[in-house]
Amino acid sequence: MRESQFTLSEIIWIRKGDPEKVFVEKSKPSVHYFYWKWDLYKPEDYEPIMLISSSDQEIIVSRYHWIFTMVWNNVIKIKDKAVADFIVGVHTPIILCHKTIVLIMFDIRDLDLRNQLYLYIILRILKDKYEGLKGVSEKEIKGYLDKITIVDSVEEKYRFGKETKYIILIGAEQNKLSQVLNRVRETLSNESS
Amino acid sequence: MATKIPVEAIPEKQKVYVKGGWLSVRDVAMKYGKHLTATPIDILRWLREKGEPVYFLDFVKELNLNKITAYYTLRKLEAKGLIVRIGKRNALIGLTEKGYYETESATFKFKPTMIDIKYLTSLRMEIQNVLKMLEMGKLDAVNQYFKERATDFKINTYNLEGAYRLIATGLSEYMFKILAVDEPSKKKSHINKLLQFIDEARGIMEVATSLNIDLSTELKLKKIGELEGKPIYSI
Repeated sequence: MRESQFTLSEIIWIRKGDPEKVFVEKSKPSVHYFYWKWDLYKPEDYEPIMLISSSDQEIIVSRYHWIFTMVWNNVIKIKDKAVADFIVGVHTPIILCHKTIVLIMFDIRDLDLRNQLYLYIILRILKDKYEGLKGVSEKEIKGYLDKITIVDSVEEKYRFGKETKYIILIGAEQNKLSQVLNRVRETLSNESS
Repeated sequence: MATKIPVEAIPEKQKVYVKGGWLSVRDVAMKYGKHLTATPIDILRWLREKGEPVYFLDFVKELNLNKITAYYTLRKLEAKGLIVRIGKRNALIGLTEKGYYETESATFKFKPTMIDIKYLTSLRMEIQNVLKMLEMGKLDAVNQYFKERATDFKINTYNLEGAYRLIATGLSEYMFKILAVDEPSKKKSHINKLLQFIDEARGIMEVATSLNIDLSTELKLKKIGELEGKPIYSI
């Protein structure tokens, strides 16, 4: 399974967190599934991260607690790659961004209490811990090439890319929302087809 | 004999000797035209007992209160969201949901710090024991447990803030769902959902503790527009 080292490259740097493996599907190499055997209280933790790149901008998309799609804009780059922190215990990825504007695009009244609680904590983390982030040093980051494992497919329940009902955008101005959103949807729909 | 005032909220322990008989302090105050005082909680309890809004003038008359003092007490209660005053002259005074539950919480003050990882861990163990009771067919005891617990949490959501309030509300809602079904297998399924919610709440608390995030802070979301018919919020 080490063929991955020769056929694939990392899409981000890791600043905090240490995944046990990183799964990449043969047919969809743009999504990297950062894997831990255990979350705080449940087994099998897959944290997908996808890079959407074009000449003018780079967007990173991740999943948060199954129903939220996190769209990261204006990302901080070191040696051409974005940097991620995986939150201690639950391993949710936080991509470091130059701007910490957070926009939520859905009716929050739709959320049940569990998901309100999850929304609360992720927003508090973004606001309390990442607002005003100055920069990152090269010494703080590491790669994960040795952890990449190519697989035919990850289990269907862990697969990324279909749900875009609950969207949290980080680092995007309101006037660019529509453009960003169309781009993400288009890519996700191509990925899941 | 003094006019009987239907007010249970005012203490009636002291009796006063009046022409060969004993009258309550309340009755004496009415008979001799002396105003009484009522604490905010007395007022809330009285409104709850009334069961409907009352006009300000009826309120001061029935409670035998000084109008000015009563006016300021009501203003304070309104500022706390415990009552509403409808209209200006001789306003109608109504008890809010928050005020309704405050009447109960006054006897059972719940400290926000009570909901912590340790507390949720012991609650989880307690509920696992209740699950065993359900398996043994002790349905009445199970219902009694969740009825008391659900009410405790419901009452105390008003004393909590931020994520603590969401957790208490969630615990209460899951418990009411358990109470709403009769079939043991359905009860068991709802109890397992409650246990999962407790695990998730504990996980969130562990993350908050490790990142030094205060969960009692309210999160303010501001609606800044709409896109595709969906609201957009900013923090």
